Amino acid sequence: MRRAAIAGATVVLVLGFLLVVRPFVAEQRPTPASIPSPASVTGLDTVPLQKGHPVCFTDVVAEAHAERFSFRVSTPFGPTPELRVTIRGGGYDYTATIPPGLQDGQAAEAAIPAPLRDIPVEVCIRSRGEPLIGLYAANDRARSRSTAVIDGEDTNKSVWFSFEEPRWHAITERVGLTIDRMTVFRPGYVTRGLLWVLAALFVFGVPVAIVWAYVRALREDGPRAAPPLDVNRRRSRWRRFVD
Amino acid sequence: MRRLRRIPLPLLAVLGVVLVEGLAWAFAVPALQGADESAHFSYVQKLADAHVMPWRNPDLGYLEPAYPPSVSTEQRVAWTWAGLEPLRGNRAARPLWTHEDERIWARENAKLTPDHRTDGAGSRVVDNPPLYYLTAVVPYEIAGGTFFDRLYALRVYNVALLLVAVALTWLLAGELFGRRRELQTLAAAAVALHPVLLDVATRVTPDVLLLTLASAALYLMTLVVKRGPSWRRVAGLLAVVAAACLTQGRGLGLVAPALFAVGLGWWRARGAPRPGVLGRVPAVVPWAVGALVVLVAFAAYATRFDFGELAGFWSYLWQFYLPPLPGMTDPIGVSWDVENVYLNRFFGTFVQFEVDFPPDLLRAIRVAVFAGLALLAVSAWRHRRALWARRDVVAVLLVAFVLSVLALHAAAFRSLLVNPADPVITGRYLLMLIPLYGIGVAAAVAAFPGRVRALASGGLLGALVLLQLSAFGLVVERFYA
Repeated sequence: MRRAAIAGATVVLVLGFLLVVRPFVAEQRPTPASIPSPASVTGLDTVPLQKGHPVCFTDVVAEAHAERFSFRVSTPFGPTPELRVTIRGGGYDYTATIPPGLQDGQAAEAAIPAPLRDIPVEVCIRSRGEPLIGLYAANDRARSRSTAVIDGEDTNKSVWFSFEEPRWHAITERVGLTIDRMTVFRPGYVTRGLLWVLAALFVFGVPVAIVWAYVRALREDGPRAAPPLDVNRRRSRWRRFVD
Repeated sequence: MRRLRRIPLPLLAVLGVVLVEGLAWAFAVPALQGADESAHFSYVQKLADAHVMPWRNPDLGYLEPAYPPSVSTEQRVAWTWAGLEPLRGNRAARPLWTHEDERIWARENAKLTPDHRTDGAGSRVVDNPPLYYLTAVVPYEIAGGTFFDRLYALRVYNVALLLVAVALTWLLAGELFGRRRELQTLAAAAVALHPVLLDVATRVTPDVLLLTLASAALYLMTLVVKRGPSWRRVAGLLAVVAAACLTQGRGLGLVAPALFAVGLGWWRARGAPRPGVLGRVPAVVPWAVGALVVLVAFAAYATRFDFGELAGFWSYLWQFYLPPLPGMTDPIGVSWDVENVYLNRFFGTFVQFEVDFPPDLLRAIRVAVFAGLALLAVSAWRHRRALWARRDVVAVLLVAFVLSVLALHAAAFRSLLVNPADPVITGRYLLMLIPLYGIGVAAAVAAFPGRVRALASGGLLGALVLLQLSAFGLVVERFYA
């Protein structure tokens, strides 16, 4: 009985890990480094960007893995002119140029040198020509703390803006980093050590403990009184297995 | 220590599993990402910091939980400066996950005064009865510290409540299965590994206290009918049901099953009828009167005392589970049926409903559920003698299930009469009956004989572990990948 239970659980767990868990955690996915201002939940909104009136926002954290940034443009009057994006703060100062010609709804992206550490920065987006364009922004509950300011005036909208890593990653490649990130905005006792222990116990301890509990329960129940076997009667293989 | 040793080792192992899963879910999911978690936290905060029982705001009426004045300034600062509100239900968002982000929030949080913890106006959640929130004040006060210290203390408190619920499932299974450790372990493990239960129970919500009290009520109901209605058992049962009603309105669904259990226990314990007028009344009469009273009460509640709506209620109830009969019109409200509630929402929707199991997995769960129901029927036939010997317990648990679900439907229909856009009933609401799910799983597996049962149980436990890991993996992916 106990061996049958262990065999049943082992087969399902091994097959599950091979066919479901492994492909899931090994799949390469786009990896955000940080998303200071996410896309809206309901509806679309924009902030205007025109030459001489840069759109700036502060309290943005450029994460140490950030090697690209991305935002989305609205261009109802034709393709975008050249755009310049300045990221400045905490000893970091870099200006990226986005070539003209982006179409309506396209993402404006550019590479940046990765900061040495996570740093709070100010981002300013400048237009180098005509026409007037818009930057997609959140005006609903997705509005972040980094609201866009134009000529000193707060628009009360946050431009959809994210930092990304240059290449895709699997979940397994990012376990340590993910656990680090889980300690942020948590009580002091939720440390990396605690989360590592919990992760190990969850992935390895839970399956073992559950199967052990069942096997132990079988043992505590003991052999159940079975009717005496008639040794003269031939039993099929199935019967012998079941009994 | 001696008491700890008296706890069966399989139960200890299952409780260990719940503790690990519970803490992992509680700490992995960013703050305020559970359904109405902001509102539930603000209720506790109002009690603990303002020492005020929040009532519906006379000037503002019902506020939506997401409406900023409904919560304190301290919480609103966390919404904005810790990035929690943009994250809520927004798959495009990720948590603010650097320690620099923490410093930026701390800078703003440091500007607050004690008054900023007490100025929340309250939301429609304040219509909930207060028991959970009153008990949650204890961990809230013990934790002290920052907003996050207090919020995660409430989540850990809920994990402790979940441990109690799983232990009660074990005890309940023991009463039904005659202390067979194997089936008790299966029942408790099925509950411990239920993915939506772990997701819901590890947020700040009164649902977890409700399901713990409901588990206790189910256990006490079985004791009352099995061992007799001693005044202690009856008082305990009534106290637990009253506590459930004071925790969440859905607790009212336990009142009729509890009265049924007390009535059945009393009837069984009474023995042979005494001579006299009452003794000559057939036993079926009081039961029929009781059933009629309950049905009329449900109908009156569901239809808001407008018995002209009874046909609509019947049509809604029928079409929730079965195809329409000839001549039936469309039921009131949006299209929302048994599959949405008992399958998709009960097994496969997480956080703010933005994470769900893939359709293939849901289809597999659906097949497994139907196979489980078929096995349950086979098991009932196979063990009919044992079931007959425990018919009182079986009857009480069946009545508890049916009446509790009927109460949910009555409340849903009552609400649909006012707002047909919200189906109200959801899989999360069934969690108060989670011990019955565990018992159903164990009973279904009992259809198999000997070693085949052990093999199937091992396979089932493996599959449930995978389901739990899959749910957790999807939630971690949603927030951190």
